Amino acid sequence: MTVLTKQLHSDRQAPPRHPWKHLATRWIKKQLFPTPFQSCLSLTTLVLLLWFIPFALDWLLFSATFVGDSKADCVGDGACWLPVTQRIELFVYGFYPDTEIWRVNIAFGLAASILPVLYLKQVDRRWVLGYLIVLPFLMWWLLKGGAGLSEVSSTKFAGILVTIFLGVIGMLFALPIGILLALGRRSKKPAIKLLSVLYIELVRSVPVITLLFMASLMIQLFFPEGMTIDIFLRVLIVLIMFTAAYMAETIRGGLQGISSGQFEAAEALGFSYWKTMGLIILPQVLRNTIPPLLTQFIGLFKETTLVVVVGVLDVVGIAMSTTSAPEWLGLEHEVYLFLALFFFIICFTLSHYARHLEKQMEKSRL
Amino acid sequence: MWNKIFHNARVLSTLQQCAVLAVVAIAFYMLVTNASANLDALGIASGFDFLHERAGYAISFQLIDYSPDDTYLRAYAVGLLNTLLVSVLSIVLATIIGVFLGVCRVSENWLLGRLSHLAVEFLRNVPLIVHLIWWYGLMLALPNVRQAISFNDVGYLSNRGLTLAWASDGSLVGWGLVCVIGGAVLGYALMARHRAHLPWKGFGPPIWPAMLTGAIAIPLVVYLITGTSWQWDVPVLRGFGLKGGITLTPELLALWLALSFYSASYIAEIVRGSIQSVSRGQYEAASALGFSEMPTMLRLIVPQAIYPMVPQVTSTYLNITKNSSLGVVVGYMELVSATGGTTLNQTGQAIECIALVMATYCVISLITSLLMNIYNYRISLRTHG
Repeated sequence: MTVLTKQLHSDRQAPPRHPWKHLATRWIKKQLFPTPFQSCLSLTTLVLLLWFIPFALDWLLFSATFVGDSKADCVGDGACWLPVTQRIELFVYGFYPDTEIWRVNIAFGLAASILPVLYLKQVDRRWVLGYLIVLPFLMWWLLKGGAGLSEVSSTKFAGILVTIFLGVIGMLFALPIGILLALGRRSKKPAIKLLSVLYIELVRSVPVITLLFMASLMIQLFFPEGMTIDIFLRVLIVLIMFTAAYMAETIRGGLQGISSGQFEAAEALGFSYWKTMGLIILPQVLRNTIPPLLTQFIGLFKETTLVVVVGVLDVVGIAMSTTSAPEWLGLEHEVYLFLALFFFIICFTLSHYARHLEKQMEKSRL
Repeated sequence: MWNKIFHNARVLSTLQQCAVLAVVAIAFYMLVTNASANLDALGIASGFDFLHERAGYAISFQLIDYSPDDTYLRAYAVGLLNTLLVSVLSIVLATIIGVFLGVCRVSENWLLGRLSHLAVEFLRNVPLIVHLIWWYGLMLALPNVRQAISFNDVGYLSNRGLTLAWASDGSLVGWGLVCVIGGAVLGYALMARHRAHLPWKGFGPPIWPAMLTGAIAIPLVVYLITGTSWQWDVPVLRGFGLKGGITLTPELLALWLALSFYSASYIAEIVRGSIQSVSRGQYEAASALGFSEMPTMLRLIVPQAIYPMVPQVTSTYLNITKNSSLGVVVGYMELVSATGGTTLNQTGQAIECIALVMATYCVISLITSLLMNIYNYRISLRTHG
């Protein structure tokens, strides 16, 4: 009886006047202050944030110096962004000749256009594949010159140009080698399997830096006298060979995800090994492994920064030379923060894109 | 007849494999002949004899006695120990930070969850080398020795590194460590034997108190029996430097912190994934049985989340060990910068030096994966047996 009256009573209560306000307070109560312990946590974090955010914003933007010529122009308490703004061309294009910069811009544009192309359903797959095959050669030609364009020495390559160049070309060349290695590892032929396994495991168990050292100090010994390969190319080859080994494992994972019925059906229809793989298995594997491959690209993109160890000036190399230049001494926080934000924005966007693709694929599979 | 032979699948497969092997062998042969011709032209004798020659270069941080008069082999050992030291230090710190961030990410507190998400994404999307040069810049921007930040006069932080009070006889620390680990292992072994004889598996007393007791008791007993005298060597400001104590160089500190924070983001993601992979029903069952939040987490969720976590965490630990080779960027003399860098440049024995470094890393990763396989085997026995 009492229960019933209580219920009636509560039913008769007027609905809250401001539903959104009610929702907001309920949300805050539930998410931030459910228990005394959680409330303490939330309050501490809030206080810290309220202290830190104005301080950070002030340093980064409001008291910061953006315009000026030299360190003497930085008078405020905030960040001095001049080493970045003054040297932005060096950071992006390195020592590339000014008159030819349009070539770099086109190459950047071509590389960036992969992302939308990857997931446009209207475009024929064969065109996409063709584009991916042509792209590295096209980028190489645009940047290095020759065949109609004036030649640019690779000693002029530096900055973001090198980072993106090594990342994109390395990835696209590593893909076919990675596929072959993955197929080799699953092959029924013992000699091929052994070679693939040895290669993959050896490369994966040593640090990239030792491989880069190998490229800069050792590879020269293996070539006939007088034959020299430019350091840039050597580093690129090492990055390709190393990424291929990691990629082989990703693709092997994708191959294991294909049901054996697919192989059996192809065999029953009389398809040869390469036709089975090329027409039936690999298209499925590649589509399923796009997200992990993108994650791998992020990894490679971060690894390209190691080339600075063997003397190739990528964006990190330019940043290091900026902080040690006498006119910008003592401004390493600004330069490194810029560097960190550059990588963060690109890698974070890509990883979100990869996650988005993964979710979409899961939805389409259901 | 030829037609028949060439259409036999087995013959064809064998021929193919022979062809591949032949190509690889020829390539190898050409590379080796080129290399020996080039080495002859440079006047470099191949082989590992150079390891017994005088190294002649100094190493700023070492765990065992070393001077430039020692051999290249000794320098290699110092480098290897430095690699292992920074790896172990980073593994410990990265695990602590990573577990903390991971737990924050799955916490019910919205603010904390968002903040740790942001931290994890920032830490892992910035390349390790950027972390490293940033930390190194911070270390070098510290006040000089005379204005060193003092921690209660037993530790000093300056741009020459972190100087701490240490045992005056360094070897005692090693023996002490052996005693502590031995004690913990002994405690674990005794408790595990005790638990194995209990009728109810999984409800025995916890193991960690026994390990802790062992870890404290054994060193104490050894100390009392042997009667060694333990003296602290406290650093003192004298002249232009600090005398005494042990100094962790800025290079070591920067590498340690950079590796720890970078790898912590990976560990945080592993921790989050493993905790979230425990099914929702487990939480509901626990709350239906009246468990409160903390016991649910500690006694139910974490034990289930820990097994899938182990292989992933191991591979992160291996990555930490491999990434410690970035010490070469700031001049921390570990395996790659000592043997692969300075020794190689001085002797010109590029192939031997790089092979030595690579082989060492291969052995480390082989040992780790062997231990991992043993662990996986035991876990699969426990869950399916």
